[in-house]
Amino acid sequence: MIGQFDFDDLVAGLIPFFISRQILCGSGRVGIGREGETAGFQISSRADFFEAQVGLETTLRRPIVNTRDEPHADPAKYRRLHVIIGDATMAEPATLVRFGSTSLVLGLIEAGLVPRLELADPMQALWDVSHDLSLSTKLPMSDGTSMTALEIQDTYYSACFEHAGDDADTTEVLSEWKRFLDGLATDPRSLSDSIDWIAKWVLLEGYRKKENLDWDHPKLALIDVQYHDVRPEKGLFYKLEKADRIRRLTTDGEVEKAVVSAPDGTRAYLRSLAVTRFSDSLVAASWDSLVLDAGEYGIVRLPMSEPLKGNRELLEDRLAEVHDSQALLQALGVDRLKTTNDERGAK
Amino acid sequence: MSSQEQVQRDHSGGGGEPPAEPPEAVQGQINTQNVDSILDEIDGVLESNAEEFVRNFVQKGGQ
Repeated sequence: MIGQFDFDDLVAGLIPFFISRQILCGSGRVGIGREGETAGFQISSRADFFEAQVGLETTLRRPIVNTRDEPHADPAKYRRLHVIIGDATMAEPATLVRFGSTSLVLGLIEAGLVPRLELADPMQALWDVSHDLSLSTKLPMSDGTSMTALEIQDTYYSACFEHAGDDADTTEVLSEWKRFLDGLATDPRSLSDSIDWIAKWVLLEGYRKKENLDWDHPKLALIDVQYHDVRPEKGLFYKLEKADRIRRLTTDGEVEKAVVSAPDGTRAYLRSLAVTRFSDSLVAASWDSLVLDAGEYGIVRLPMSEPLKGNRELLEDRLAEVHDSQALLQALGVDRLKTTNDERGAK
Repeated sequence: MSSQEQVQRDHSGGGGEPPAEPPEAVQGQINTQNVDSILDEIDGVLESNAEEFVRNFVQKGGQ
């Protein structure tokens, strides 16, 4: 995240959004309650494990907004929001809306334009939304009114739509987000090809009807877990996707390429270059720095504190003829290599 | 990232268009047949010991 903003404003802007976002991208769960002790099905797999609005922990007393703020970048300019409330989405449209809507809302917060909503009891609201498949629960607001999760999402959507840029990615996210909101308002089952909790629910209801199973039957818990199995021949999600029951946004070829090709537009490009072309000299690589063995000049640490620099556009030509670590460092502007151990980094 | 900056995505047109009314309309590429037709296929890959499989997947601590 960029810029100086109040942490309290961040929390206030995010909490109603995160509480309601699960209707768009929850991955579903058989069983209600932390131990799944109550038979049934709910929208979010993680909701029952959250206990606090704000906090530092991630494995107990889980908070809706996690205060871990290691930016892995210039701390004077950047902050990092660590989000732990999102379920693991498998359906690509849900993944797009999950990250895309959140990115747009963060943009609103940075610009001071986020809707001012406040729930009377955020934790109870989080659980109540997850446990209500009809999406009709009215959540008490602190001003005495009440709103459904869908109405809260509509409010965020409208604000994003009003202030958004018109680049292709933003347009795509807004369009899908709107499609989800319209589908959830009229007939959630129409989105069984786009949202994991709905795809899973339809599948489970199919078995319940066919084999007359109650929600506490072990087979349904098995389906809940095996839906997420990442083995292509075992994962139930992949079975649905291969049968064209889930929409895809990518191709297998694009996914395979992305496994071994870093993004072009960020410092990942430089990091990847260091790993592939300069692996003999590379001592260490982290989120925000490289450590290179520059031969007679010793070990040199190269900071990469700007996430958007070190990209292909800036470096591809400049580094095309560079083949050793000393030349690499010089090409990157490390202008004072000495024949002693020197910790200077690049500009 | 500002609201104008989105994750760069490079996708083919393989996802299908947003649905026209009514929601039950066939999408062309999307299979909207009743789910029953896939249940047998899924039965073929389901793990045999449901309780043990589920138990092994419950995470114990960690990040």
